[in-house]
Amino acid sequence: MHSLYANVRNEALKIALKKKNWFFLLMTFAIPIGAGVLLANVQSGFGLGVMTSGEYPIAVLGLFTGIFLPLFVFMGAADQFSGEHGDRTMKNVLTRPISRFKVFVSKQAALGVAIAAHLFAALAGSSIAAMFLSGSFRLGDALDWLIAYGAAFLPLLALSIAAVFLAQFFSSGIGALAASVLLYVALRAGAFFLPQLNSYSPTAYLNWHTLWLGNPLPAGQLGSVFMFLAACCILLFTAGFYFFDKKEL
Amino acid sequence: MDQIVEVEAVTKLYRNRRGIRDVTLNVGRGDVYGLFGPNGAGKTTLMKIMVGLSRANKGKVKLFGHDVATHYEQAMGKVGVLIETAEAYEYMSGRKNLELAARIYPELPAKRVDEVLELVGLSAVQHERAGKYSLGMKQRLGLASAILSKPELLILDEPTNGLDIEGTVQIREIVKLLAREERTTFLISSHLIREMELMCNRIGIVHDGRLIREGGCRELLEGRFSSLEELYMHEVEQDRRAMSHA
Repeated sequence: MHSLYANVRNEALKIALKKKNWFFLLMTFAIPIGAGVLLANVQSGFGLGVMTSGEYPIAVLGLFTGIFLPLFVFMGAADQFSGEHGDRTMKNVLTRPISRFKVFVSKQAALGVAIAAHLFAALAGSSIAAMFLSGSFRLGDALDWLIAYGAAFLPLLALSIAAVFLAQFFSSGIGALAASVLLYVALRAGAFFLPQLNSYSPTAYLNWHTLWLGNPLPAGQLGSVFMFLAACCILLFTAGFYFFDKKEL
Repeated sequence: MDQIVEVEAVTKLYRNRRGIRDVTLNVGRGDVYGLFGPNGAGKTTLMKIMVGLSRANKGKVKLFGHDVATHYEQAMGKVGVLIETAEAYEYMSGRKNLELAARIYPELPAKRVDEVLELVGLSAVQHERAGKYSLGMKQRLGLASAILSKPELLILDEPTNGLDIEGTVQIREIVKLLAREERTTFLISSHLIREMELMCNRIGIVHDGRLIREGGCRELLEGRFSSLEELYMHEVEQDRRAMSHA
């Protein structure tokens, strides 16, 4: 197991040492603060109370899980797999005493760590911004934020596994990124015209966190969405590994 | 002799029908085995199969008695590899590249990275981004990465590619040093026969995807040939004749 832990650290370090990833993380932290300050100024200027401090982090999460974080997930998956094939650096790890399965798991796990870091940055940024908005701070709100940001991890992880699966068919990072974005847009847009698509696509459950904020909790719906996302993770992970294992360098 | 590399009847054919056919070879402990042949003969294909980057259609490869296809981690535990041109993570320093590789080996002492940087002559530029390295420097970094774990077997594919004369001599000296001091076994491919002559004690000649002759350098020359170049030309001519009659 040592090689697995070591490679999770290595893969996480590879993500951390790329400047563009820091830029993305900084944006994840700064955008909610900037938008929050702007919103506070507009609201106080016009005497409006469109959004309270308790609602703001949840609204930010809705925007981030719909657009910004999927983009980061696609970029990360493309870099970790097809990007390394394109740069011919994949052989650097595949010629070490570590099985392909462990390499695959460690890359996926590092991507999961990066997603968690982004969710944490977005939560931190939006919590700071919430202080500028009207409405008094309640402990219950903070608990809701934590639950929502924690719950948002699962659909983003499922999306990353789907992006990793797709990346196996490309030998350049740009190709994989473009295909992931196009497919994502097609699935989101297609759901407007064909609502049945939503039943079969993990992209339809990126707002899963909102279910966790209901009172009472819709346990049945939560359970079925969880099962669907877990099934997506297992199927796409298995299929992704199959193609990764078959790949010749 | 203790066989470290056992290649049994390995065949790998690509869609264009090129590749390697029915290659069998063994490398014993302490050998410096040179796989010699022109570009496109199949040397890299064979080495890729040996280290699991590619899969054979038929046949089996064992390293240290472990099948590469089924027991990869055990087979590769004492192996260092440099296949084709060395590629580094260009956004990291040369040192960081090595530290990443070192993390996979739990027993490796921390000072080993410094040792290999010194050995390949990259200590002065260790903190520079690998993306700024010249081709020769990248190749030396690749060699440093291959010898990092103090492997008992080193598989080097065209290790002097992109190196100037000084770099080529340096690589040769490192190979000789490790073979002599640490009894490291080498499997080295090259299309430069002079390099093979200077480094190897055993040679395998690859032509058109087949291993057409192998043996100790001295026994291959048998007093009939003055150099490996002469031997190679003779063997290839013989092979061509045999194939045209087949």
